[in-house]
Amino acid sequence: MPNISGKAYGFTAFTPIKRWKTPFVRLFFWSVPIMSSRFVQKYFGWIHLVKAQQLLLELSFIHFARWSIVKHDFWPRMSKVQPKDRTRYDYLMFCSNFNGTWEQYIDAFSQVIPDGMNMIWRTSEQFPGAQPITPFLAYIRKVQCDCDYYYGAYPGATATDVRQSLRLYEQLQVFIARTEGMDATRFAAEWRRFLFTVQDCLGATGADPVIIDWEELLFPDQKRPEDLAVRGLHTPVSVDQVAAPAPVRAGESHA
Amino acid sequence: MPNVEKQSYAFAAMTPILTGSTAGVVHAAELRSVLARLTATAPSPITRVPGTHFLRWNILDGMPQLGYPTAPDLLKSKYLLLECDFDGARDAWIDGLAAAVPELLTSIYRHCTGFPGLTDVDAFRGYLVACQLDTTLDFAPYANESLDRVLRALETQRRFVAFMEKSQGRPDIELRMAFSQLVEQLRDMPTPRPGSI
Repeated sequence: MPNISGKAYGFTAFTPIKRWKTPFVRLFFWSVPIMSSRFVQKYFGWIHLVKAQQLLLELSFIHFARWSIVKHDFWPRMSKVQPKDRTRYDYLMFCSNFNGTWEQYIDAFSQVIPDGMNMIWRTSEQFPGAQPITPFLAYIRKVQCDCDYYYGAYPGATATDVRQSLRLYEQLQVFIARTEGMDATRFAAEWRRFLFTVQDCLGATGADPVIIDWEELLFPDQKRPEDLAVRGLHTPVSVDQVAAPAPVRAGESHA
Repeated sequence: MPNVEKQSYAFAAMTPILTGSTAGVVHAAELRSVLARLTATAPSPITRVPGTHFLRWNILDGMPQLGYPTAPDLLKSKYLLLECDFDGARDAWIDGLAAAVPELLTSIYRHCTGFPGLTDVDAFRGYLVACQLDTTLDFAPYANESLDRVLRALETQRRFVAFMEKSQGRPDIELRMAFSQLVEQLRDMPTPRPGSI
């Protein structure tokens, strides 16, 4: 499945924004790093929307994510024969690399940071709000653009694994330096203490969980060629379209 | 600059795909077929591109149509979106990409309008940069960590957990000696190959 690389899922979505709203969207994105700064969070964290912006940046299941504004006149024209594209709307592009299934991701967004989601996509056309989840999921399905190729350099690791391993890596260097030349008894005591401090950094990387296509498993004969064609992977030739050769009887010839 | 977060760069480029067909080859369909074959290739050739954490190619057939009251919004060309997160500077990464997988890039971008080829790397870099889409907000929780460091940390974690499980209940002296061996192994350990963890 092109959207999946091991435990990572590549999500891409484009949502239309009326052009006059784009400066407000930019202003919001400009404010996120400021709102999530330690100073603002300390003194203004009690404000609901300020807290929501911080929560947005604390999601533990995201490796990398980005938002870009695609202006209506952005579309590159690389030769004179290519017609110039100019869209009616500006678009907000969201690309994310996260762990888990698509539904889990959207569900987490909807449940954990509905205000953050609303702040980001409120200006997008027909955005129904992050809650309730059903219209939100339907909206995301409409605006998602599937990957045709997706690559991750550490497919067996979740974002949490990466963060934990980096913490362990750092603390282990310190531990090694600190215990160098230490006698066995003292080392054993230090070791136990060290395990206590890094006990939340001991994740397990490796093969991704098996994703079962239940539809295909339960109804293997009902896979429609046009479904495959949508994915662009197979030529849509139905079995019905291929004429079966006429049986040849003994003594007959085609000539 | 929003494209850069600490030492991590978030790059995106939208290159227009040639419309129609050449010698019976429909460019968008062939490009999709090339990318589908690439998905089935293991290990991925992208593992050879230095410092690449994540990379994707999407073919945009058009923009999402939400229906009334949103007006239809149609594109005259299809576009190929390249989106990736990598270590270091943009230009050095594009040069590394061109050096690591020239055949792959040619098989992909020959279906795009204005592709200058890879004989002149400066021209190819200029081509991608001309089609670059700037990032408005980047979210990269471990943006200050290079790919090599992430891979080493993950491998260290794997070995450490295995060691920890084996060392339970060992006498102190054995534990001390075994840990010294682990430290040596970690020190001599080569950086794991991208895609191997």
